[in-house]
Amino acid sequence: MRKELPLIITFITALVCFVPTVFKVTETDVRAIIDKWFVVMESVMILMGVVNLTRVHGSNVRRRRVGWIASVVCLVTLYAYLLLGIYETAQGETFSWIYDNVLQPISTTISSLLVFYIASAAYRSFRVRSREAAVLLVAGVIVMLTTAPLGAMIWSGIPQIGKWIMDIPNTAARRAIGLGASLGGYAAMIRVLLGLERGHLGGSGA
Amino acid sequence: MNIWERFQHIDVRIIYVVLVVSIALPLLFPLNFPIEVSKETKGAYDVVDTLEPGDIIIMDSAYNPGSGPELYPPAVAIARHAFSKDVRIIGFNSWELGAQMMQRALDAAAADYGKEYGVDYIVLGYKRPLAATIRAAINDAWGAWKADINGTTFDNLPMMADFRSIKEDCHMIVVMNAGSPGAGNWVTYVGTPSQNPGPNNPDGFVRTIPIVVACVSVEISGAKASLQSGVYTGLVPGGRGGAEYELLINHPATGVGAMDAQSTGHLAIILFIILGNIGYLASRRSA
Repeated sequence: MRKELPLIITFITALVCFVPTVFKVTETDVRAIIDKWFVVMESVMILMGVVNLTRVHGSNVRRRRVGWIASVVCLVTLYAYLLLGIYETAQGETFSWIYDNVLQPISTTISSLLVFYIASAAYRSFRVRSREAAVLLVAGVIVMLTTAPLGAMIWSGIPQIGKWIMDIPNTAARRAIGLGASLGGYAAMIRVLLGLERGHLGGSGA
Repeated sequence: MNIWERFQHIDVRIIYVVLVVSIALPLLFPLNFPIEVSKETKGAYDVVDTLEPGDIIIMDSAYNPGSGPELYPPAVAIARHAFSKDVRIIGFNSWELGAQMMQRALDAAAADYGKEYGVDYIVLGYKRPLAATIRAAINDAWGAWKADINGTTFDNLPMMADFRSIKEDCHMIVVMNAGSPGAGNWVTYVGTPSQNPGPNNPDGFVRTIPIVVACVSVEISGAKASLQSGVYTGLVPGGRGGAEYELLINHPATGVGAMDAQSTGHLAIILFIILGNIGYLASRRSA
């Protein structure tokens, strides 16, 4: 029963959510109740995240594993900022100061560093090794120039070609990928619904 | 190895230094490259422009500070545009770190038009779980969200007296979208007409609320498909879209300023790609 019960619950829950949406029949009260449960479950998930983080990093500190100092910093930051947020609210002076002067610059810096990796990777990998690579290279350069005002200054035709690339071949490919992924999603859902996919029970699948 | 072949093995540190210089210099000494407004951004502007005084829109900050350089300028520009038309704004946050970004954007725009917090705009803060709260707010925003980011209940926020549900009182959704969750939730639960009656939708919610999306550059390729199919009503594409929107409202700011750096940065990368290919072709010929 340890496996059958979760499978039955999964089947009924998926059916209650899936049928009204797809077959356009009246929603049931059960759907609204599941929504409320979802709210509670999300709160529990956040709590579980905090507990798990504390256990993992607490263990690192207790056993003095490599990099345990970083675990101390992680735990102190987690609880100090959490308590500060509860005490001051998100609009508190100190809470906002830390957000503005620590969190925001760090986040922006990490994102900004990507430009260097992208530039370096583009330089090393964008080689005209084949006709396909040449097409990719030319399309990439045109789109890059299209998104910057400089492109139109170099030649007025660049934005028009770039727009065509984005509007026609790009959109066609995106739709094809989207449709494929959606069909895959349906297939995965039916497998879960029928109990063929059991990864969420902690097993290794069918 | 001749000089041409050496182009294939440029030291990565040289690439980094050239990039830093090419991006930093135009920020310090603006070049003022002309920016042509795209059809997409003009379309989004026109959609926002249809709002009437007193309308209420939801602006969702679905990004974190890392995407701020691309999405903060359009957030402020769209808020300015809305406030200039006496439209009221509810700031929503799909991402936990987006709340302060939204607060700052709305405060900046409100200051220009003498708008007051609680009367002309509010910020809800981060509400989890997103899908469930959005679904609930379609019929009962007060029950779903209850209070703003400061914990002030809706009873004490005058503009919320006119906003009981998304279904009846929301005139537009504007999403600052850096990924998921974000525009997808709004499209699924609010933007898509549904005629299924039920507890969350007792009357059969058939009205489609316009969804305008400002996205980061890496999202443009997917967002274009959504715009073409009508899923998005308007699209402000990437940092350039933000700059274009600033020009449309005659309020050039950081978005426009960043476009020079984007131009020179892109040019530097393209030059390195060309040099790398010259080196590659030269080495292939000599081999």
